[in-house]
Amino acid sequence: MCRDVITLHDLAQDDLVFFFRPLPWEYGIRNLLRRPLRTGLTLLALTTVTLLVMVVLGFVRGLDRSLAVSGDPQTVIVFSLGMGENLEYSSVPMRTADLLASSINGIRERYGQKYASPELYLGTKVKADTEASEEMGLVRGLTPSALLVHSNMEITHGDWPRVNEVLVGRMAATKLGLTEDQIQPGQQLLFEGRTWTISGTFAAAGSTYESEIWCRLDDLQQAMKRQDLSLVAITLGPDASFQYVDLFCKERLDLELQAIRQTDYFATLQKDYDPVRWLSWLVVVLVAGAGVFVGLNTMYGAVVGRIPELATLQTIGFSRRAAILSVMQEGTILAMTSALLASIIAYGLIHRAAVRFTMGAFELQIDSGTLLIGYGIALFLGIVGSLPPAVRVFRLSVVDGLKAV
Amino acid sequence: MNRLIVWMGSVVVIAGLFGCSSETATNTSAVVGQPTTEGAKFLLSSAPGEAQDVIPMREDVEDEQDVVVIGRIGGSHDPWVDGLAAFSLVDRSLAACTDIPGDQCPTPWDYCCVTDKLPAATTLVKVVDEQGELVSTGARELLGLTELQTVVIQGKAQKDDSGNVTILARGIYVDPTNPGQVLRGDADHDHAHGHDHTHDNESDTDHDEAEVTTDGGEGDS
Repeated sequence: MCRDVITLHDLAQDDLVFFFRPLPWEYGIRNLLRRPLRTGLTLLALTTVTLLVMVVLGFVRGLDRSLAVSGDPQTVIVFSLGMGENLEYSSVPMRTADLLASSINGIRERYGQKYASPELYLGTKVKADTEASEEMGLVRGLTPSALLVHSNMEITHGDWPRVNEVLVGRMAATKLGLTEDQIQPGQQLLFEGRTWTISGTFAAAGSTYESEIWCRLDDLQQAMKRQDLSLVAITLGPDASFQYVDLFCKERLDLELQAIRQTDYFATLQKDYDPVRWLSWLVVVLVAGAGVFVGLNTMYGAVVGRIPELATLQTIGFSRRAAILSVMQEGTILAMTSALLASIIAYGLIHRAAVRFTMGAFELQIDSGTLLIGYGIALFLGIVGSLPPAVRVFRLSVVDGLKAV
Repeated sequence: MNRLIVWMGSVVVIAGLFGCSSETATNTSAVVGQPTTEGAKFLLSSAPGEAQDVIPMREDVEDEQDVVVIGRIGGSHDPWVDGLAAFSLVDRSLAACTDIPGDQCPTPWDYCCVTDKLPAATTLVKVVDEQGELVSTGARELLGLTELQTVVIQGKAQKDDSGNVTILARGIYVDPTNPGQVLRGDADHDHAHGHDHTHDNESDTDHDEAEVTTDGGEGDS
């Protein structure tokens, strides 16, 4: 140690950046490597903490993204009055789609086809075969006009469903507790007393639609012995405005309709998940708090064992601030290394892992936001975990520190 | 060290407590705005003659008939139309949640206790200019109105074959005795029966049967 100190003293130069002479960068690095077991265990603990934080953040970000990308600002959902956001319970007459298309100006149109999609939407029990257990699935009966309104939808395998066929979202397997093989084209699903053949699979840019099962509207109406719709989704042209759809619904009281922007609908759902989000953030705070205590504990141990060394540094001319900075450097390097390891593990193993929830399923998102927050928390752990023990040790006088040799 | 641990623990606990209490209850009177210069032209300084309530008006009125109708602003979670001077008007005989003693509904203007009666007791009011065009400013901003205010509308009725009546308003008188709604709780919350209408007292008011039997302090038409 003495050799180290003398060498460092020779190397140390006045540094105008810090207004004091800092210890060389290599000094902190070498100190970490002098106690490989303690450093390794601390690294492991901090990596676990940062990984947990990233997993929870990935959950929140995945949930947010799933609901955020589901809405189109120009698309309006028209459904029964007084249903809140519970589209499953909504019931509007079959003629509503034609009525809206003919009554509201500004609905987008292509080759004479209005962007108005009549839909029957419900949650029902679905199973892969007669002996399999049932799971709650989300089924949507549609016409081909749905492809106009849900513009982010793309068929990834197979074809649009024909009679008694269904198109399955790529996250439906997670929602239904099935394997990927069980939702491949040609496989069968049972719901509403019928056996449906899977005609293909679809993706919808990560939206909640991806956990749904889509089939022909008339097929679903026949299976359920219903003649009504749950909703009509319409896409407005660039010059049209939601307010005229709203005005139409409020004027035609006999239809008992209400309109909501698709983005507002998903924002409402997102608001419903606020308690989950708050709970997740609380977990982040608690886990990060635990991480701070891990850092504190380790750094206390590391610093207390080096009291004579740190006192010697002061004796040969380094200021207390220089030594504190060096201790903080050690803690920060450890924490950021742990963040790097945690992000590699999180991105490699957890990113895009499917999670089932009430509205369907979504993928955990270890994205730039998650990584940024994770690294920020790691930096916080490194600084806050090492600062208090360093400050405490330097409250001792140099003489008392040297006596501890 | 001990002080530090206590301090950090406190921070975590406080953060947790604040995190869990996102729905803070409020009980404040809504601020009624002032009408704009353009909107002031539509406001009447005195009640325009004898007014009909919404239900009898809907039954009796003919298409293109001049009418004077009285009612309260409401009928849905959002009785306004954004960016347009239009709003829903409800018959005064229907009870808003504020008329039910002890009801804690945060959006009492949606008449959620009598939704089945609303279609026959509601009319849409459109404020139109001299050319008969709907004014393209929200009614709240234009006229300084708020939910559950009692207003008297003077205008022309439009009635379609399905019995829907829309009033093309030329003049609006705001009843000064009814200040309108009182904001309670989180008005943005899910209103699909997200609250249980807990009453302060133990009265057994049946919401579905709830109707105002008196004029509730509102001026006679």
